[in-house]
Amino acid sequence: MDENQSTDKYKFFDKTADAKFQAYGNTLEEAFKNAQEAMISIIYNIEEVLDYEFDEQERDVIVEGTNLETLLYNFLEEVIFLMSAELFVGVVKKIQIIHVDEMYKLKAIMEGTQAINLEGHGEVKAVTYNEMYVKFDEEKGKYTVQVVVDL
Amino acid sequence: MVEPTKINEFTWKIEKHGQMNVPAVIYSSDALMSKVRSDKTFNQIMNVACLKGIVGNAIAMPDCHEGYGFPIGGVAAFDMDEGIISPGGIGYDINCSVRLLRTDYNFDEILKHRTELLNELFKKIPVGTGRKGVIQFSKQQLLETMNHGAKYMIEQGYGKIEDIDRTEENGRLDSDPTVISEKALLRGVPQLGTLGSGNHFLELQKVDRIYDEKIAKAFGITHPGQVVVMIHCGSRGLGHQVASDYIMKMEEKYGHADLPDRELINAPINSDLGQEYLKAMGAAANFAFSNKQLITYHVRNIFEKLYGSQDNIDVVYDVCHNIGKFEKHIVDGESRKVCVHRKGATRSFGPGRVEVPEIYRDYGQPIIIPGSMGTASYVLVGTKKAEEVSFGSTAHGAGRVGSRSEALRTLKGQDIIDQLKNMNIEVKAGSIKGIAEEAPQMYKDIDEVIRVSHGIGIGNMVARLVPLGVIKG
Repeated sequence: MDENQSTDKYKFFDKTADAKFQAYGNTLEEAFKNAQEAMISIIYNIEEVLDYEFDEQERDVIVEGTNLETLLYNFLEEVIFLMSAELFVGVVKKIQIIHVDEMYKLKAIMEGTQAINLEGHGEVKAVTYNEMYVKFDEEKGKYTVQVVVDL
Repeated sequence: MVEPTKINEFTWKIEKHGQMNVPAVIYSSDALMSKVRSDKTFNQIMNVACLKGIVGNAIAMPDCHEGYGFPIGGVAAFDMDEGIISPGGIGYDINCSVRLLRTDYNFDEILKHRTELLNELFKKIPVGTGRKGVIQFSKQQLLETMNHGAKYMIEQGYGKIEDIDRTEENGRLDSDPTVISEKALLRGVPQLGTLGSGNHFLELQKVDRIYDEKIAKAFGITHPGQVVVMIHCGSRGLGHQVASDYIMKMEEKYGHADLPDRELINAPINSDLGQEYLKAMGAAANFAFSNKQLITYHVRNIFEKLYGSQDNIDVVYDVCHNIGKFEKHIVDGESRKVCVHRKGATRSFGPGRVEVPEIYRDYGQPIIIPGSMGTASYVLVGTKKAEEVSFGSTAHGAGRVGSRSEALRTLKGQDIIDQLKNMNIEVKAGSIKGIAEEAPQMYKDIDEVIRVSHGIGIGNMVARLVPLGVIKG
C-alpha cells in the first residue's frame, strides 16, 4: 500500500479526526468488498491481510438493510464487531447481495486470521452515516460508495 | 460563512440567528482561531445552539475542532424538562478520560530502568486493536463492574479505596448494564485492561514546572523532577457499540428531519429512550473507570517490581472527557439542575463544590490535560469563573489539526521516534505507522490551549509535565 493509502479500489480523503474514503466496483458486490478492504487498511497493512496463509480462518457474515446505505453500514459494523469481539481480521472471499421483499440482504464469507498474528495501527471505533452514499454512475457503468468512519 | 465577533482576547461570539435558540461562544486565541476557521467547527457549534431545550450558550473550548455532530471541545447544557440528550454530543468513546498518578520517585531514579519499565508496561497493558487484556473477566464480572464502577475493581483487589475518592463521580455513574446490547458486551469482554489505539496512551512523565506551589502540594505534586504517570483511555469497543446502538435507536424512533445535521440525533431527556441511553452511557462510563483502575493496578505492580515499592503511588485525579452529567448551574440568575454534555471537554469545578473530593475542596478540582505525543501535559485547577461562563468546563487536550491520512502522506513513524529520542523521550509502540498518525505536528499547540484556558480563568495553571516515556497503541 502506498503512503496515501489509495489504490484503484479505493481512495482516502482528508478529514480531521475521522477517516473518509470512497470505494469503487463494476458491481455492487465489488464496491462493498473494496469498501471493507479500505476500512481494514486503516488499521492493518492490507497486503499482509490479503496474502495471509498461516492459521487462516473463515467467518460467515449475513446482514440486511432497508436500503443500500443501511446495508453497507451494517456490513462494516459487523466487520468491526468481529475484530473487537472475536479478534478476527479478514477480507471478503465471497460476497452476494440480493434484493427481495423490499429488503437488501448481504451474505459473505470472510477469510483472515486472529488479530494477534498481524501488526495493527490505529482503531476504527464506529461506522457513521456521515456523508455516506452508494451510487451507480450510468456513464462509467461503475458503483461508488462513500464512507466516513470514526477513529 | 459566518465570522464570529471577537469580544476580547480569548472570546468570540456568534449571536443568535436563524434557528439558533441561544448564542454560540468560542474560547480561543488568534493563533488557534486560524485553524478553527478551516473546518466545520463554527457550523457545528451553531447547530448545537439550535437543539431543543439548550440553555445559556453553546460553547466551544480552546482545543475545539470538527467532530461527529457536536464539535470536539463542545459544551452544551439542556433544560431537564424541555431538553435532549444526544449520543453524538457525548462521543463514540464514552468516558474517554485521563487519570494521573503521582509517585515519590525522582526522574533520575526512574531513568535507570526506563527501558525495562516501558517493556513491562507494554507487556501488561496491551495496546492497539485486537488485543485481549492480560487478566480476563467473565461476562458476569463485566456486568458487575458496569453496575458498580471502579469500586468493584477495588473490591476484587485491583486498587486502594482512596483511588475512587479521587475519581470524578467516585468512579461510578448511575447505570443499568442490562440495557447494554449483547454485541456491546461481547466487544467489552476481551478489552477490559487494554489501552486501545489512536490518541490513547500511557505516559511516564516528570514535573517540569510548578506554577502554584500551594495547590500543587495539595494535589501531591511537590517538586520539579518528580515522576508521574498519565493514563488516557476510554470505554473501548463497548462504549463505541453503545453509541452506535443508541444513534440507531434514536434515528428509528425520532428521525432527523427537524435537525440541522443528521449526526445530532437525540432523544428528550424525559423520554424512555433518553433515559435508557443515559443508563447505557453510565454503564459504559463505569467500564472506562474500571479499565483505568485495572491499568493503575498493573502500573503499581511494575513499579514495585523494578523500584521496590508501590506504596508511594497515588491517584491525583481522574477526569471524564466525553460524558453527559446532571449538575447544578446558575442559568439566567437562578440555580437549577441541567444536563451538561461535555464532548472533548473537562469538568472544571471551583472551590467549595460538593462534587470536588473533600481533600481538594478548598482549592478546586484537579484538571488533567494531556498534550500530544512528546509535548507537555498540564495539571490545572477548576475555578468559579468556569462555573459562571462555561458550565464548569475547560479544554481536554491539544486537539487535532491534521487528518490521519495527511499524517501518513507527510510523516514517517521512524522519524518521529528519532525526533523524540533526541528529546530523551523513549517510545514503545504497537506500530510505527500509528506513531506517524499521532505525531505532535498533527495537533494544536498545547501550551497555547492552556494559555487560553488560564487567560479566561476557566482552568488555571498548577503544573507542567513533560514526557520521559510513551506507550502508544
